Amino acid sequence: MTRRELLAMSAAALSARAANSKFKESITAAPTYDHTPQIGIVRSDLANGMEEDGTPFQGLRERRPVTARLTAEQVAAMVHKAIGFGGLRNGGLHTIVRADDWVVILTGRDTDPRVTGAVIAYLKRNRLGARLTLLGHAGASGAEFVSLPSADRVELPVPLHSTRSHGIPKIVQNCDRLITSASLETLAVGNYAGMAEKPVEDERLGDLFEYHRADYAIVSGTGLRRNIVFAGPNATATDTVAGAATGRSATYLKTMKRRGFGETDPDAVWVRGNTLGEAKAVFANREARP
Amino acid sequence: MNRRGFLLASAGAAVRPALALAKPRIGLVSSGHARLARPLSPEHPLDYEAVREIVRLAIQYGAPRAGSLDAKIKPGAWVVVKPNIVFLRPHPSYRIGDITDMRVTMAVVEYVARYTKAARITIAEGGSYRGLRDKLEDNRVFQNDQPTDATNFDWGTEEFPGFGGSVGAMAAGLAAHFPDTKFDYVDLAYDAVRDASGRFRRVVVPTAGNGVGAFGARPDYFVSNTITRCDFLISVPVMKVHNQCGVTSCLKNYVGTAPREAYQSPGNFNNMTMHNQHSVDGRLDHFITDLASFHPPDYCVVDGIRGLQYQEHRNDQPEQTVRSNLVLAGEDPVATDALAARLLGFNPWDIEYLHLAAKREMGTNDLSRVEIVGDEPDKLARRWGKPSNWHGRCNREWLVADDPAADLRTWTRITSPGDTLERAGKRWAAAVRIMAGGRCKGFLWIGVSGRVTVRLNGEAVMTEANTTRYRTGQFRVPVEMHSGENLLVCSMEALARPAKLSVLVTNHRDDGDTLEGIRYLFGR
Repeated sequence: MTRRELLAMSAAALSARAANSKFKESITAAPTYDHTPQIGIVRSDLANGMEEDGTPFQGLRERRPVTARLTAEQVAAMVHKAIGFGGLRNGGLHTIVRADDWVVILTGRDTDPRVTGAVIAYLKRNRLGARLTLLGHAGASGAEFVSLPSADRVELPVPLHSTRSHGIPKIVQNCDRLITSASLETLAVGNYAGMAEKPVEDERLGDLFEYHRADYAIVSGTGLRRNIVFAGPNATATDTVAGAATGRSATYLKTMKRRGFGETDPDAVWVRGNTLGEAKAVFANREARP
Repeated sequence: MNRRGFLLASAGAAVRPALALAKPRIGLVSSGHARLARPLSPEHPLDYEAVREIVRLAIQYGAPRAGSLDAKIKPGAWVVVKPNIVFLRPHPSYRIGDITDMRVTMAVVEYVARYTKAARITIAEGGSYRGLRDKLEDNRVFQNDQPTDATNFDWGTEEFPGFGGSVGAMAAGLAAHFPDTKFDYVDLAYDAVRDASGRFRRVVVPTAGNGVGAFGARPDYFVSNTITRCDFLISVPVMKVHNQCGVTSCLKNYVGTAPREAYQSPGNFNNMTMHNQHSVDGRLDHFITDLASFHPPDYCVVDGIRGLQYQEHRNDQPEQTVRSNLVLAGEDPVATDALAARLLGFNPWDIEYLHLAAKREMGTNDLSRVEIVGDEPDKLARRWGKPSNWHGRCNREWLVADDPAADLRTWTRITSPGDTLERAGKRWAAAVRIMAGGRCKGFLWIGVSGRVTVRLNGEAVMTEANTTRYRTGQFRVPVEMHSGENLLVCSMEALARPAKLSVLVTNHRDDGDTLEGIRYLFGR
């Protein structure tokens, strides 16, 4: 969805509310917090373009076909560009993470290590976070590493659902900010399943997510030469857009929506960078799909 | 003194201690209350007649020490009814449950008109929308293409079933029914106290009878004429969850009394400047109490029909609006807020501004010292969704020493003004004695800057180090308190900067509320 469409829809929603009360109602500029997630989509061939409100943006300096083998630098450029697009109205990752935060980057078994490295580099370059910890299955330079299977765990009640409790890695609760970096196969919320000691169903995945809702999410296909990166402040919305692009939506999205974890309607998300149509084109070939 | 004067004075002297000793009363009435003519389910949308009867009964149950609300309001008095109308419906942050139900406001006004001899009844509020006479164009609400404000904004018939129209129309309708009483609406946003030259004038928080003054970062506020001058002030808030304070009700309602015309900034018709000027450690609690000090509520009627959980305004979460269909009323704003906190599923002890208000002798936050008449709170209390970053009131009563091995009897007693204890020195120790009414399980929340080793009753329960952002409740571990006194000792080591510490023992739900039945003891 373009920004213009989104704004039109918001106005329509307000009108609908007003129509319900048989009044046409509006308010001029008022301070409010726009929760609409902006999800950045960057293909490896992103060219210069223009946002829907007319703001020009620069494409990647070194553009490569979406099926090309990429260098770490090329992947990093994509990740950084996607992070630049993915944010909230009041800013992106640099406003979400503070300089004195303890940041944990949660990765899956199949997360492209080049993407993880690019996230660490972004945080360091922008002096975001005083302590960076990689929680996953393999380390990376620039951050301390905690192995997910052997991390210290603590049993805590699920926030808002205190009748259930789970053992979770302690640092998930201890850290200030959590970034989930996932492959297209696992997806951003799906990464949380790695925190459990056995396979989890959707409701339990929601429980694990509730302990520390991701503050930022990155989903990439670069590891398998489907060179596309999705990034945004809401993991559910990021997974929604990624799922809409690949044609394979995660089963847990319904649960995430019900529990208030984010938007699962791709039409209610503001997509920036490449369009959703351009993202879908990467997966036109069935073999490219996760 | 003549004989009559002497007798009256004697009688007064005899009655005063009795009144002082009497417990404050709070009326609590739900829509299903057995004594209502028409008991209705907690899910019923209600109509005006139903709300009016709930309000009337709550006020009668929650009689002030004077015997009744009508006895307390003197003939000819100017009564101000202060609802919460922070937003009008088109505001993006508005959601049903955000503001006081118009039917509750109307029922309170009607009650005062019907049962008292008040000469003037004013509905007063200052919301985040411009008045019609304001020349600026931002934050202006339109209805059917016409600029509008709280006075003439038409709420329609769906938002508050049984109430139709605007606040202004409400006042006009009541005026027709009660011709001897004057009804009006004052927009507090444009009612700032000014000096002789017409400039906004700051007023210093009055000192309470016990000598307690302002709590805020600066003691002088812009205040509104109506609040400071009226004879009788009734706070009529909606009870709901607040992102920072935990709950918002009678006292938090005073934020709407600060005139936005004085506190606005370009493009922002709100009180953010006040937040910036008067907050302490980024918290509102201090200036909430200060604002209430200019004219503490003479009476409170709390709308508990619908409210918001998770936070005080729209957050786009499903099921944020919670219907309870209840009203509470009482003279003691601190006690009334404490009961509201209980009904929302919070531990009243954790509401910081209630402690501050109690220090100013505005009332009691100890519900064991309150008489609740009507429905049983335990049957109506529910666990509303708390803010994601919620934490209760951390321990303030410390024993500190440089040497953790020193005899506890030699440690120094300190009362920390806030949640955090901060001390200079490379190594020091802090202890707290925790009295538990019985054996109970909970979670220990530790916030630390530096390194801490925590021992509970001699057993090491946690060792953590933190050199990043200091945060209350960053480290958590399950603990078990035994019946009686428990000793918690934290050995601190400063790392990059002076060490900081906060300690909170939360309940078995780990939701940030202080564990029920425990008490932090002061002294050795």
